[in-house]
Amino acid sequence: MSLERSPVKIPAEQLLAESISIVEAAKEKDVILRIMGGLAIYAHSAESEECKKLQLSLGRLGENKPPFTDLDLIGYNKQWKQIRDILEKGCGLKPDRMVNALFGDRRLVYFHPKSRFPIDVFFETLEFSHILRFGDYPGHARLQLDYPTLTLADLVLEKLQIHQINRKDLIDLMVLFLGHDVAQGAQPNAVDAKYIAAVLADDWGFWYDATNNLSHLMNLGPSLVQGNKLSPEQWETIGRKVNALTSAIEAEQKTPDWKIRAALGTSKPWYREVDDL
Amino acid sequence: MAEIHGAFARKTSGVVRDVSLRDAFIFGISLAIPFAANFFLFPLYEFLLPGADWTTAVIIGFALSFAAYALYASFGSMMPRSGGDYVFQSRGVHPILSFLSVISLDVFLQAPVFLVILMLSSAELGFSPFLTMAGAATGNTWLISAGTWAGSPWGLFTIAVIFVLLALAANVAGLKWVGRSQRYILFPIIIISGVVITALLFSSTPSSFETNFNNYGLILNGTANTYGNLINAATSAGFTAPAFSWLHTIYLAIIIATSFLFWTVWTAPFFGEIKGANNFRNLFLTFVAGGAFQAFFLMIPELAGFQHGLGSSFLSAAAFQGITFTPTLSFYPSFGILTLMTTNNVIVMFLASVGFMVAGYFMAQLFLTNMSRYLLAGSIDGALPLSLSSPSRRFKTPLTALVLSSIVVLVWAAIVDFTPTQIAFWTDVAVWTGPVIFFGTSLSGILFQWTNPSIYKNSLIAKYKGLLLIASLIVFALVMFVFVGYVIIPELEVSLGYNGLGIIFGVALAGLLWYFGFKWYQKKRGIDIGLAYKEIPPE
Repeated sequence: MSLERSPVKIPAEQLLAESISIVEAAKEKDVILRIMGGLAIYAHSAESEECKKLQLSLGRLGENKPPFTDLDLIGYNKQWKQIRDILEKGCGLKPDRMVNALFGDRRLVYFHPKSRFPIDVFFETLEFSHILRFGDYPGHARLQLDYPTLTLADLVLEKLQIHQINRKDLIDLMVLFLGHDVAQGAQPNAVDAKYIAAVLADDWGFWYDATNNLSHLMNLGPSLVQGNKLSPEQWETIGRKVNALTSAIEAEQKTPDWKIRAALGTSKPWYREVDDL
Repeated sequence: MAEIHGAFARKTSGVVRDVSLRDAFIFGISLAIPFAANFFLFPLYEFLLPGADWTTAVIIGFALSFAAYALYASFGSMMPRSGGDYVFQSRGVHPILSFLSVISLDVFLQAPVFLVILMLSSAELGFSPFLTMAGAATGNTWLISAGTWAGSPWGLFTIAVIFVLLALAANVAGLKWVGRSQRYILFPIIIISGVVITALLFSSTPSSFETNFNNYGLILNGTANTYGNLINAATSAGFTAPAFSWLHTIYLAIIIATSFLFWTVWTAPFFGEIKGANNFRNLFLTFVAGGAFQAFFLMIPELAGFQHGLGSSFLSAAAFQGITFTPTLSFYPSFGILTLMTTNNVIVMFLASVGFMVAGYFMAQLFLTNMSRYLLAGSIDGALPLSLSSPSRRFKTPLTALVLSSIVVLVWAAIVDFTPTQIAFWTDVAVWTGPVIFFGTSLSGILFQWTNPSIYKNSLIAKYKGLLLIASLIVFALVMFVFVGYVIIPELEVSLGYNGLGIIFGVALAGLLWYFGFKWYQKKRGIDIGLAYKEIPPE
């Protein structure tokens, strides 16, 4: 039965607990599912009081505010059947029959049986303004590099690929950079700038939107400081990390495909149109 | 640098759809099947409506079709949901109407019967004429026999089975592959065939055609002066060269509009899978472009070329022969075979025929998509079994709905192809039930602002005051003209008889019995499908 998408109305802590229980249920059956999107950033920042305060002061969280529009999960296509069984039979989620029948090869949509908020399940690839790939081999690709969420680098890329980025996404990035270091390689609790730079060095359109989004973030910071929503010290920390990431992106050797596409520039569409479901 | 849009601009995790409006344009023209239009127009309407001017009729028909384009673009922008007419009618009028007109009469009768006739026309306009004429041009009797076999019941059924199985495989693989095959195979082939046919017809003259017709007549018919014999036989059977008739031209225009040019909107069953289908202006322009392409690139040049290259009086006499079956010709004087008679070059014959050959397959592909989406929407509403809207565990597409649609088509293929003397009867059944879906959707368009005011008032269409109502009224009037015309206008009389009416009413009754039976069954399980129609949002 097709149900209306309504935003998450339960508190963020409760949503995170629900999400982790789904990922745990999958893990018990050797199925890999990971949390992504804003909730994953919240999960990574949940233990940092400074990050929590920033989310409140910037209006990302707070009373009477829907913290998240939905819960986003990602898994492997090879485990499609098991994921469907876990979500429908194990967790009792209600399927959006229309979406699942028509777009089931890339997306399954469910609704929480009580709170009715939507749960989107993606498979291996995020196909929005730009394409983000996570590999297709359970146990040996990117999804299992972190738990219970995607890696920090993938979460940053998930936000940077948005062509029409909004304030909420920029705030999520700020929170993430405030609470985590930027490293030149894979390290625990740090954003892997080298991986991000390598992904962007192969795709000019993605690189163009990502660097623009980082510029938006750098432009947004001073106005937040001016409005006393962000302290100068916090902004200094965030700005330093964003600059480190930008430098890594600039320094990365670009591929021949990137250079060929760069020659065309914005004269041809460089991003994909994203419709509402 | 990209502009930062307002906070919370993206309401949900979106989706990048594989099928674009450009693909919808190609779907539209392929479904409208201009080749089949020519097949149906000649010789049937040349005979039924003597004196009608085809070019004028196509132009008037195109103008009338704007109402259908506006109606479907309005619904698309208000409810861009897969299920198309089924959704529009159930939300705008009543679920019983949508079940009756879309599920019963369209999915189980009109669509499969019409598809079978379209595949048959693909064989009779493409495979059979090409093989026959290639054999005649090269002196290869095996090819002539193959051409005859392609037009026989077993040949037609074999071609139908191959088309349906291939179309099923493409649909099971996903709409992305259906779209790609249309974009990269069908469209270029239509262009090539259209250009070759038009060039062939305009390079021919009635006198050069007479020579060619007599040469081929000697090979295929075994008689000399076939051209003269045909004219003489027609004349002695009562044929006279018709004078121009405005009345017949207008009748023809309405038939062309409701039968072919309207059909560029038949991407409606999968609006939910088309990028930007919720944009009225873009959707409307897509339909108009499809109609214009069909009218001005395919129909008018080919039909005008047909008259130019073969001569109007010969065509009228051939139509008279074709319909009255005066025993002068051993072959049916179809658009395809007469066109190929303007050349002796086998490669040119192939290029002119290949459009007809692939068109049947692509029709199968698109009809299966549409039928499966109707079934899927009915299943989601609880009026059909749940399995019809469950994605296959292996293919992740609505496999059960697609397989059921294929089985329905193949059952009808067996019935229609193996009753060759009844093909006109089955065509009449399909012709009669064809406008039913437009009847239901235009009725929904007329009532929608009162039956579903919340959706209507919140849509952009409400801004264009009266547009939906006026467009719906025009479509409704045209459809009613066709229904009434079939009964009371002698020239258009489509005689169904008790058998035809029995089949139509039988299928409708079976649909009603299913609807109420399943509703009762669902209620016993605690599901009120009447409530489901009210609760389920349209998108």
